[in-house]
Amino acid sequence: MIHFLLRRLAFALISLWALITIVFLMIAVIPGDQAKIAAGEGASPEMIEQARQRLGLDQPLIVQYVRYLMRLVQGDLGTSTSTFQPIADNLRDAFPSTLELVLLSMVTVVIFGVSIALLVVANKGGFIDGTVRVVAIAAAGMPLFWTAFMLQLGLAAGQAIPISGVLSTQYVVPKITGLLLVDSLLSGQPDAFGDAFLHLLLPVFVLALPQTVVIIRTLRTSMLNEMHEEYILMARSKGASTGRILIRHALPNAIVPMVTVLGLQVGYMLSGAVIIESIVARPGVGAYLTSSVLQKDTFAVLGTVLFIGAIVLLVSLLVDLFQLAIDPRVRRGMVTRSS
Amino acid sequence: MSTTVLKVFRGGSPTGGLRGRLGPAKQLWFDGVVVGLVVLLVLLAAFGGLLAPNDPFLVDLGKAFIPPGPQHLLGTDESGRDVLSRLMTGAGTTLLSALVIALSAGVIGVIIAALASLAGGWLDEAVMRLCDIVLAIPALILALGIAMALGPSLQSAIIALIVAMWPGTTRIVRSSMRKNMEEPYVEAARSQGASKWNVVFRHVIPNSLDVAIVDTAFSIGGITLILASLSFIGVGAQPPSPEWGAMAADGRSYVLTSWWITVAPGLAIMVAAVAFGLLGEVLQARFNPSQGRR
Amino acid sequence: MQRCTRSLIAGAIVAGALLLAGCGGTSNGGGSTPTGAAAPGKPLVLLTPLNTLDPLLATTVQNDMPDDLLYDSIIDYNSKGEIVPRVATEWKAAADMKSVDLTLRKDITFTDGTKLTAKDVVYSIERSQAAGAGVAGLLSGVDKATATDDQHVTVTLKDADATFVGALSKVYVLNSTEVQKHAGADNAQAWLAAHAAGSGAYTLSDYTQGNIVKMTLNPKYWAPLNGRPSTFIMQNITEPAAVAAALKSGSANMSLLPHKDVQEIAKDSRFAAGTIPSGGLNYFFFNTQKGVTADPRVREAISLAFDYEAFLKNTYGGEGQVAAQIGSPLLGYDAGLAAPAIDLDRAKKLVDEAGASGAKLTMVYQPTRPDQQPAAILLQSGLKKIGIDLELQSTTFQNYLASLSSVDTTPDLAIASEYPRYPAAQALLNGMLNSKFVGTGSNKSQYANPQVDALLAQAQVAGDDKARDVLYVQIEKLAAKDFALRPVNTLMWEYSMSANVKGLEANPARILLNPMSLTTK
Repeated sequence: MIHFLLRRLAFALISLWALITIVFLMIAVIPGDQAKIAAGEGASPEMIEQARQRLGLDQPLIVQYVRYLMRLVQGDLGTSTSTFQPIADNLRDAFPSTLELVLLSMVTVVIFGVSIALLVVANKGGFIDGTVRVVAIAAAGMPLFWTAFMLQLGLAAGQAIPISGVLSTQYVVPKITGLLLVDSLLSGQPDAFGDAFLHLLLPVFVLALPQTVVIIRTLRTSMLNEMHEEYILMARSKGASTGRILIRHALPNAIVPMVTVLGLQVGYMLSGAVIIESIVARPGVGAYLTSSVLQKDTFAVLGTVLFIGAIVLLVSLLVDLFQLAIDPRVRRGMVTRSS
Repeated sequence: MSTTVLKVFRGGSPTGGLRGRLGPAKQLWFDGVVVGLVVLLVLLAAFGGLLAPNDPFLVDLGKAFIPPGPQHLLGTDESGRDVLSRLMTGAGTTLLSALVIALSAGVIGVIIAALASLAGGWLDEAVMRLCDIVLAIPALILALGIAMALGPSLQSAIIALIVAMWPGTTRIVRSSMRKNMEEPYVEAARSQGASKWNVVFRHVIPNSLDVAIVDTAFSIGGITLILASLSFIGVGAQPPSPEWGAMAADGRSYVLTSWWITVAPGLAIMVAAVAFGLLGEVLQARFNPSQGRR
Repeated sequence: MQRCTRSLIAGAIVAGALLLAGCGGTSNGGGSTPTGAAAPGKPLVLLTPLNTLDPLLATTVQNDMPDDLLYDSIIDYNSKGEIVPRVATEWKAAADMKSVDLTLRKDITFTDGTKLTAKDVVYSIERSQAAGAGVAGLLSGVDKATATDDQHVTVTLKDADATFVGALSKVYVLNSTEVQKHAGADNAQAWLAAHAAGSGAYTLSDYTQGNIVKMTLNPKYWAPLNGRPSTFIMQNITEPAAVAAALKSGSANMSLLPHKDVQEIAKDSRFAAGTIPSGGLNYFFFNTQKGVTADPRVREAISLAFDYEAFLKNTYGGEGQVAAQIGSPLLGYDAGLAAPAIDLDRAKKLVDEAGASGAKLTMVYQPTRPDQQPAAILLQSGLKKIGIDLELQSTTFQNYLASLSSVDTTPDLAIASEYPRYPAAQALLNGMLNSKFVGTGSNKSQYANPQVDALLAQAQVAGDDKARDVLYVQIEKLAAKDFALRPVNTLMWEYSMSANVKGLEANPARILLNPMSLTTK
């Protein structure tokens, strides 16, 4: 067990190091003069030289790599050439908004995924099952930006659900945690909470849709497989109803693979956030990344890539540890070689 | 986002997704429709540019923003170009790029998997770990970083996605090869004095190719989506390319009054993603009827 | 009857006050109107691109907009292009044009109560130079700035420059005591990106980077304006659908939009459309030194192959003008040149004469600018008709600038827009036409004409506005004769706004509009 844990942690650290190195290589590969880009338009040659020295671009590659690693250890991701602030600070400020979106989306995925999956399994082979499958196929193929645009167009006229922004401008919510939903409650502003919640409806729907489809799929499969297990047949022979069997037996055993899938979904959610945050004007990590792309702020782009990659690695480590903790089958299974 | 599509279509159930729901006769029909749709898309990719009713690049500012109608089935964009023609020409850019990426990643993946299994030992392990690491990073994010570093363009996006996608194939093929290596016929061949190389190349790889083909087919849909997203964000195909993602990005400023400029390419992306996903299902059923579980 | 009317009026006043109080909302705590001073107007939400708040980057439109409200610049321009006092009430150039003496107002206080004095002005200039970005580019001619006493600053220049003062319109005065506390290793850039330390008409009440800036009216501001919004919110929403929804639902009051959308929204009586000139122009740039375009006949032919009127009509709905000269009309001089027009026959003749028929040329443009692509495509179709094959390449601004560093890598043709940061013709014409800027990215046509250089040097030290204008007219005529570059059109901004927003005004020192002139009822 300890052996497995250590191996898993070592793998996490090596993955992080590999990610860092991949990102550094990407930085090294950039064509053009980074100093010129950093100094901005209309910069005099002196300003460009200043920028070059400030960024350490006149050093050999190995030296730059070591300096890069040392800066990372101190949490320094470099300075954005568009905001002139430390990238780490920008990400720290932007992250809560994305966190809020992703967390709420995952909750939505679980709630709707599980309930629809239960419906579908109970209705196996029936109308609901078939309809959900067809809808699922369409939903999985929809480009996220397209779904976002369609919803914006559709909801714009109604004015009931806001199609962009995080909060109506008349509310002022102090930044305690950075999560608007939490902060509005903490500062005793329930109408701000409601307003923030409304602003989350569109982005959460867009993000949650494809992932819900995946969960329905996964749960359906594992629950159906469970249904064939012996203990289920025994329960049935004792007269237990389908619903009871589903909830008391099939579902709990299907939870573990679901957690794995959920953990994996963090990566997809973050990718989705990158695509839609600027469309819905949410100031999160995704919006920061897309605006950095537009402003050719390559350092900020790569810093954000590193940041997101590190989060995904962390989450997958946590998922593995969680699986280890709760599922004896995994513990047994770890003795055999994976993949 | 790529493997979201994968997961939906890899129909983990023994009966295999939507297709599995149908009886054998209807399955044949289903296969036919899907293959037909895919062939149509491929033909569009190859010849769409030639068959387009209007010049997709002809600017006529007097004809800008015409809504869909008899003259222009999908309307015109901000430069007066026929959206349908751009869509048909862009099919080539989008779909061929996706196919190139899928095939390249597939070939590279198989080669590396073969080499890894031949090398064995720690090299094999190291390659697998590298695959795991690359796969741990969301494909869109990794490809975005690479494409940005190389300089935003369609070529950069293609390279970036090949880099992001090959580990997936390697993992799956290697896994299949490992299983095949344990088959009795391999034992038999080895005991008759056949060298390891011989066995791998003549027996194990060909038998693992099914998996590779199915995986490649599955991935095309997801690749199309990511490629379009990369262009939409601005690191892939640059305007005025009629690549579908770039078209959607182009049209987003006018979505209020001229929604068709963005809606049409988005719809096209969706149709392509769905069609290729279903193709994967068909291929899986035909090649690997036993391999329902993933 | 009288009583009735009186109570009606009283009722209206009460209702209005309630409305104001309600709209002021929870965000406007202070702002009790001093007796006799200007009454604040309703809150205003302006949708505009945003980045950070550091006045160092006031040369970018994202920072300039909030900075104009949170800070005061040393001098300012009015909508006619004349320099007007702001922090400085007088600006005297020395006879040798190598220094400028500024006299400052006595009654300006920063938001923390301290008085604005000469040391703050000096600090603001020196800090920009030290940080080496943004505004520093406009101050490269400055040798040093000295405070001769609390109300006087002398700025000494490295070389004589008669029009230097204009650059000070982009230098916002910082509270030096406050900023120096946070100077750190980066000249307070990180701190000023998210905080304000100014003397402006507004104080900062909330800020999310790149997303929203909320500002509250400063009741003690030294230049009050009746109806200035009690709360000024700038928000960054990029998708036009979202912008229109925000306008229609009342959560925003004003935004730039494409022409069609502005017209569409203005059909609703709750909204108005406003168009202002921007001081910017689109230009076609040629590689005047190498390749087929080195021949002036080819350049003239290209200039004649573009349908300017159609471009204006179709891309801008007819707003703006076809440009006859390099400097915008806001700069105050008229070179008397004829506006360009399409003439394909003459163009074809010139091409054949120059032996350029069948030539293949490349044109670069930036697809992020929505008007450049249609222009490039239109030129392409025109050139096809006169026998030139034009290939279009999209590029980014940085890559384009990089390609200008040598004549060999400069593209044959390019379309780009220039927005002079402040309306000094000298800086614009000098940067674009002086041969010493070949290979730097500012002289985009790599144009070199010693006659023009000499005239520019003369204008640099000519103390008299009129004398300078005469020189500029000569320069324009020479450049036009050579077809050094082709001005295409003056750019307009079209705003969609709530009917109660008044005072939309262009300002040649602000790329978009002058937020200080806006009032709400």
